[in-house]
Amino acid sequence: MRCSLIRACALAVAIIGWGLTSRRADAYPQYQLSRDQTCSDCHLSPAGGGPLRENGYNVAEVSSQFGTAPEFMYDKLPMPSWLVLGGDLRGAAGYIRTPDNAVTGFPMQSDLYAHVTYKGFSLQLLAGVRPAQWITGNGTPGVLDRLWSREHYLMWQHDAASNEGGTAGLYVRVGRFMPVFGLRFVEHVDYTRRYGGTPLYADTYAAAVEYVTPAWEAHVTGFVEDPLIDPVVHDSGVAAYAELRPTRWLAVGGEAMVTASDGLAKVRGGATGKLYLPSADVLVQAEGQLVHQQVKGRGAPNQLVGYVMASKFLGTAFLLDVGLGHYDENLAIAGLDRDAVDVNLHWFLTSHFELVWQSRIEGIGIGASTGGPTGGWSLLHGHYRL
Amino acid sequence: MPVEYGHPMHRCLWIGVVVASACANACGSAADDRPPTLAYITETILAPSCALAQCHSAFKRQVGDVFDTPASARRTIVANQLVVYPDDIADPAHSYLITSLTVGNPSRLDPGSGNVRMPYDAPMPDADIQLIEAWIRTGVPVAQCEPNAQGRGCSVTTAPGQAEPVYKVVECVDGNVGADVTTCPAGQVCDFYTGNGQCVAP
Repeated sequence: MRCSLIRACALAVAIIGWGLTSRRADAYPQYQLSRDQTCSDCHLSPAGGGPLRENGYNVAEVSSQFGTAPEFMYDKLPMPSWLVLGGDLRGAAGYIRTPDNAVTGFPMQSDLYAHVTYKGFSLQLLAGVRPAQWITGNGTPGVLDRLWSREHYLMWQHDAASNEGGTAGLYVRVGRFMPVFGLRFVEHVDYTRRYGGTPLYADTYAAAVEYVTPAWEAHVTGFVEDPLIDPVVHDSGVAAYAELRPTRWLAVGGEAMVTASDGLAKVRGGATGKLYLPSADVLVQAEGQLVHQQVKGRGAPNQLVGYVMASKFLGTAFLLDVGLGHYDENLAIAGLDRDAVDVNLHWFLTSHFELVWQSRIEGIGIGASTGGPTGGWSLLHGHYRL
Repeated sequence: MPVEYGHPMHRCLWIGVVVASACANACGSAADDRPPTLAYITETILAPSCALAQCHSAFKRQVGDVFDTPASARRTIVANQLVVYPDDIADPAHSYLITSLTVGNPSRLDPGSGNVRMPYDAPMPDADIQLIEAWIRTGVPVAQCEPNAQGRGCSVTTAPGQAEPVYKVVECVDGNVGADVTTCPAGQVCDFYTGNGQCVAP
């Protein structure tokens, strides 16, 4: 464990060093502190992601190369104030070596969403294309087998009209959504997403009580294994995340998650930190988790998961992320830890369209006598928001 | 305050990086005493490495393989003959499961396109592969037939270049995959999940 902690510290020091040697940048809307204080300043959800509110549209416009009207369908289809529509299309192509070489391309997301508000209540529905389940015997999935609603929930916000422009206060959500936990990086391949309790499509039926203010926020989510489909994650449990922002440029958070499935129980505890460096216009984010597992029958491995990312705007429309990930599958055994260096270069061409060049180099058991092959990829990822 | 290259704080940071990295690289750990059981291997290796949303989760079931729970892994290993009992016990490195992880096997999604090595998106530690081999060497305990009343289970194979998979009803021997009882006729599959060991219409 001590070794992994040292390594994690080394990674943190390295990325902070990178951040400090950076010269200048502008802000990026997805990051708190550098532009806004909370996720809900730009998004309708108190946890961020999905439909934007007016401030989010404005940020999308001013931070893109060619501007364009940021609203749904370029505002050609004006919406009433109680309705927000939108959608996301994503795909990627490029080269992977994990460790074999391959050229690959794949769709990532085709979703439409609607958010309907009536007084303090709102209903959010996200529906789209899902990866069809394999059918043994060369069968072909039907159209309905290719569609799903990844997210749908009813939300109540206390006194929505009068506090902090409608973004702060108490929220209660019930429905299907991702439990709120940690920094919630967009890229699901980041270690604290993939190995940190919120992998891709871990959305499930849940109830959350959340409180958001500019100075602090807290989220508690209880969730159960999805009883309606064959889910990605079979866990039921509770997740809690709280974040305190003692200054305009600093946030510190704590997180805990307890889950259980038929054969496995897990307890996660961790911390997050966000530091914006105005002089360098760099935002540094870090998350670390200790995970205790209890495998039914025998075995109780402890794990360490960490990710540090420094983000810097380059001009108006480019954003460079450098991330370092560390995951130790079992702290007691040598050669089971892995480290990754991620470099993402975002180009926001318009307020609706983004290109991201994503690259990763990953190694196993670096410095240990046993390890494994190295891997990596370099992909061009396109994202269009309706 | 603007920060410049060569600032004393920077030098300290980079020295810290070098020192911490050297310490980390010099660390050792205990011998690998993990239990070579299917439950442990599934929960700590196969599920986090293979049962991703777009791969071998129950959600996707890519090429019919599911590794998200011990029960799913057991069905997958038996039905898709990823480890053949008793043939692979003496030489686990040549089982389909292990060769998938070490050298790759012909693509089942795109036959003729060459070998595909798993996991597709990230390499697996050598020690994890060795633990799976150790489990095979002990006789693939619990990755066995789920026999029906007649002691029968299913297997399915897809040979390289073969368009259709071949379904077989197998006689469970000592609870493990055993001899083929019958090959299901064209247009039928072996019903594994709801009443294994019978040829039925798909």
